[in-house]
Amino acid sequence: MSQLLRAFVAAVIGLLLGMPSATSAAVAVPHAQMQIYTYDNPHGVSAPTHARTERGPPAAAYDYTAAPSAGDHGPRGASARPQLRSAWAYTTYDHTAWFAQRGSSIGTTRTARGGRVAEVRAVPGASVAANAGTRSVGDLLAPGGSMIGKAGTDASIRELTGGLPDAQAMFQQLSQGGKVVAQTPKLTRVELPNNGGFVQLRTEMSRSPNTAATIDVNIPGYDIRKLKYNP
Amino acid sequence: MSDEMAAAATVSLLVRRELDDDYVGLWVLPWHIRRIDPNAPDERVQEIARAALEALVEQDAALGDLDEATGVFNPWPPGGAVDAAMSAWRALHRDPNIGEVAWLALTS
Repeated sequence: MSQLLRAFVAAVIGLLLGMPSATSAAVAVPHAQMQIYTYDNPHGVSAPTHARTERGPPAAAYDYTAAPSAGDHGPRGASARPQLRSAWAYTTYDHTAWFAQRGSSIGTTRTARGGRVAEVRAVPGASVAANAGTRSVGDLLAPGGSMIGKAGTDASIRELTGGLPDAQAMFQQLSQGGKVVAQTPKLTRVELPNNGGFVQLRTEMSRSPNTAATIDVNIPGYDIRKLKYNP
Repeated sequence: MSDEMAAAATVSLLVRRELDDDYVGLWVLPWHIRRIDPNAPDERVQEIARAALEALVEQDAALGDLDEATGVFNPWPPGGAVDAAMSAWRALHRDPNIGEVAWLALTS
C-alpha cells in the first residue's frame, strides 16, 4: 500500500476524531466532499449466529379446569339466557409435542391424530448443552436472539451492569470444556475445544476505571468480541 | 476511495474509539477486517491492517506488550513498531489471536 494511502487514512482519522495529524496538512485529500462510511454495525455483514430459543413444553401436564359461568360469553351480570350452558372447552395439555390446543369438547383428551403436531428443530449443540444443565454460547451471548447488554463504542462491544462475580460466572459458562492457556492474577485465557476459539477474562487491565472486568471473546461465527462489566 | 482505503479508515476509527477506554489487542484488527471483507485473502487483510496501524501510531497510539502479570503496558519504540508487529503476524501464518503479538494503547 502506498505511502499516500497510509497518509490519507491517517488524515481521515484525524479529521473525523478532530485531532491534528502529522501529515494531514501535507496530504491533499483527493475528494474533499467524499463521504466516509464508518463500519459501525459488524453484526449485519457476517454469518448468522443461529441463536435459537426453545419454547418447550410446560413442566407438567396442564389441566384447565375453570368453572363455567352461566349462559353467555361474559362472566359478569345476569345472563339473558340462564337456561343455557356455555360450551366451555376443557383441554388437557398432555402431549409434549403440542405447542397449542385447539377447541374441543368438554373433557376431551386430544390425540395425535386430531392435534397439530409441531415440528421441533434445534441446533444439536444447543440441545445437548440445555440437557446437560449448561447454556450454549449462542444462548449466553444472544439470549432470545438479541445480543446481550448494550452496545459500547461499537456493536461488537457489549456493556453489562455487574461486577467481577458476574463476569466470572459468565466466563465460567463461556469457557466450559476449554483449556486454560494463560493464567495470571490479572487474566485467564481459555482455548475452547474443537477449534472453538478463545475467551479471556481480564481484571484491572483496562483504561476504563468504571469497568470491573472485561471478557474478550474470539469465537468463530459470533459478532461479539468483548463484554464489559460495569458496576 | 478504494475499498482498501475505506476498510483501513473504518478499522482505524473503530480501534481509535475503543482505545479511549481500553487496551486493544492486535487480533481485533483482522477481526474487523474479515467482517468488512469476508473473502479477503490473508495478504490483503495484512495490508489493510498495516495501513490502519500506521495511521493509529501516527496519531496518538502505541504498539507494545501488555504485561499479563502486572497489567502494565510497555510501549515499543515508535520507529519500526509497525514493521515488528506485522513481521510477527506473518510468522504466525494465520491471524493473531487474543493476547498474541502486540497490544495498542494511547500514549496520551
